[in-house]
Formats: sequence, structure tokens, C-alpha cells
Amino acid sequence: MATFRSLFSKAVGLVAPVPVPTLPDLIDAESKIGGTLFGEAGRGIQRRFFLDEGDSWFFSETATDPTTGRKLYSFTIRYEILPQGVLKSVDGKGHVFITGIELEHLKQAVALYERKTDTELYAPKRTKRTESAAA
Amino acid sequence: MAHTLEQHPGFDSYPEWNQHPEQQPAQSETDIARVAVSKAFELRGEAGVIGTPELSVEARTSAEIRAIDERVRSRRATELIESQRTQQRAA
Repeated sequence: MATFRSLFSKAVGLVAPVPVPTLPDLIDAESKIGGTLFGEAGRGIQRRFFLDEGDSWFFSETATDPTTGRKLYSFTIRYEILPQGVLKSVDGKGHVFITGIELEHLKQAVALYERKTDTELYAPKRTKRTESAAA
Repeated sequence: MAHTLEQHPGFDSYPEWNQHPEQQPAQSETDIARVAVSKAFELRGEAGVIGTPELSVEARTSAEIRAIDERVRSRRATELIESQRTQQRAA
């Protein structure tokens, strides 16, 4: 049915133009995928993980009470990628260069982010464009 | 962590470096420079860093992350351009 509707719409020129995403749109979509890299979040917990438009990675977690909707806690960790190392701050405070296992885990998360955002976000868009061009 | 030449365990095995200048055999400045450079490269070779400035683990990991960042940014840019092209073609 959906296929018939889309074919009909296309035939009579009713196809709505697909909006061109902006950079913030892409980062927002990536951040949702990034938030899934750290295992399943509990009920009421929302995680985001993303590279901003500069040289920083952000991990944020917000927890709300599922029954009342009341915000329980929220924090944001910033990892600034500098030539000499990775500078971490939590909610803008406590700047420290990370080392050891935390640095290794960040690198693994970043590598996984690259792969997963490509598989789940960009590859489907590329495929869709290729199919449209071929049609 | 790299050793400086003076701190390197092998430094004492090059006694000519520890000699007082007056005790050293006469050499041209070019010879002295050549020997010093070649010894320095031997030492750096032992540390496995010939030809590259030595980086800490933290700096190296940061560089690896930045390389991934670059690819992520590049993919975003490609997506924006391709989306615009697609819409222009459709218009």
C-alpha cells in the first residue's frame, strides 16, 4: 500500500522534497547512535556521545524518574583532543589529562562510533541516493 | 620516556664523550659533528624511534583519535554536499 501511494505520488509530482540536513542535524543523529555504544541504558536514562564541530568529544547522561518525569541527575563529560593528550572535564570543571584504561576506552569508543554511524546513518543514505540515481 | 644522551645507559660506553676536551684527539669540526650525529642515531635506534620524534602514549593515542575525527568530519561534509546535490537534481 505504501509502495502504491509513493508510486502514485511520484507519478503526479506530489513527492515532497527531502530536506537537506544541516551539520547540527547530522551531529544530533550521530549522538543518538553514539549513546548506544555504552550498553543498554536503564529506564529514564538518556545518553549521548558525539564529536562536536571542533576537536571535542562529549558524553552526556541525563536521568529522569520514569513515573514522575522529574529530572534526577545530569552530567556532561568533555574530552578535548589536544596534541599532547586528551583533556577531560566534567560539567566544565576538574580539567585533567586522561591516561591508561580511560584513554584506551575512549579510543575504542571513538573507533566504534566511526563504524556504527557509518553503518547505521550514512551507508543507508548513500544506498538510497544510489538507488534514486539509478531509477 | 626517552633518555637524553647523558642519561642513556649506554652513554658511559662512549668514553670519548666523557673526555675532557683537551684529552680528546684532534678532530675536525665536521668529524666531531658526524660522530656525534651517528652516535645519537644509534641511541635513538635502540629506543625504536629513529627518524620520528618520540611521542608519549597519550600524545600518540590523541593523534590516533584525531585521525578518526578527521574521517568523521570528512564524512559529514560529504553527506552535506551529496544531500544538496541530490536535492538540486530533484528540483
